[in-house]
Amino acid sequence: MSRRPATDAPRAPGSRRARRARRARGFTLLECEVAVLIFSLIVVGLAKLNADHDRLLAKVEDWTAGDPIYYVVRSDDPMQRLAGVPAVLSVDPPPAPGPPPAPGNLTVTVVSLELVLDPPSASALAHVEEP
Amino acid sequence: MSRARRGHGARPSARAGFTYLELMIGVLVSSVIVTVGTLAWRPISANTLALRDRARDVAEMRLAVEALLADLGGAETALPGPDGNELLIVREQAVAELQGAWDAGADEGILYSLAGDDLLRQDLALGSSVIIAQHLLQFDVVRVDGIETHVSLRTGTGLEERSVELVWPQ
Repeated sequence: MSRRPATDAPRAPGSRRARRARRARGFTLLECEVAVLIFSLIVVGLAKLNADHDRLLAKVEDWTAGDPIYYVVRSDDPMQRLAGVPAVLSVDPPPAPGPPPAPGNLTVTVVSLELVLDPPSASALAHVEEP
Repeated sequence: MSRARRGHGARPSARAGFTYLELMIGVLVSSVIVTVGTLAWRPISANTLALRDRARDVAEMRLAVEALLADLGGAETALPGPDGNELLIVREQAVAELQGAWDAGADEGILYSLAGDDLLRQDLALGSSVIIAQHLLQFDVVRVDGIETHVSLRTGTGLEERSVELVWPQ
């Protein structure tokens, strides 16, 4: 049966005693600098994230800047209105409506007509003449 | 008793723990750090919440405007409603017929109104009702000179206040 020696003989560098001795010395300036650097990077990253969010939001709400007035302009094409095409916003007022058509009947001349069975369709070329 | 047996070579005072003075200094330093952190966190948190509110408000206003544009795209008239700050949109006959809202030779229309801070869209012909947008503080509808309908929307307060005005020129 062997007994452990009770002496202060130097141990290997990786032993528990050596690690405890290193901890007792505190931290070095280099370790402190690294910690400060990492902390600074985190703070700068968060600040940049906040600034980017602010800039992106300013771009998103750009259309409301300065309490604007928008004119609602709907499509001139009745088929588009029937199909549910939404109106659009315009900063310029729409042009005034044109003069009413002259009284009397229009003269409509069908120049050509094309009918197709498959798919079923029809197209015509017409000439419209005002009285 | 040898030093090696008592404390693996360390001084007896170093192995006895920390003193009351060290404890007090530790508590003081921790308190300062926590106080500084709290003071710094408050404006950061307020700024983050303000950004969130701004994003929400502008998104809600955009939703309201897009819903209005969708209905005004096929509208025949858009006039103030019977109870003041309401907008009554009457569809064109063809649009109303396609949507099944043409009844007895007329379309009862779509009524936009502000209920609390919710913008409500009621299809009077179809009997449907839906909240289009929230957190709106103002929805004013005014007929100007008998030729234009002005719709004002406002959201947010203070520096975060945003407003737009839509003009229906018919």
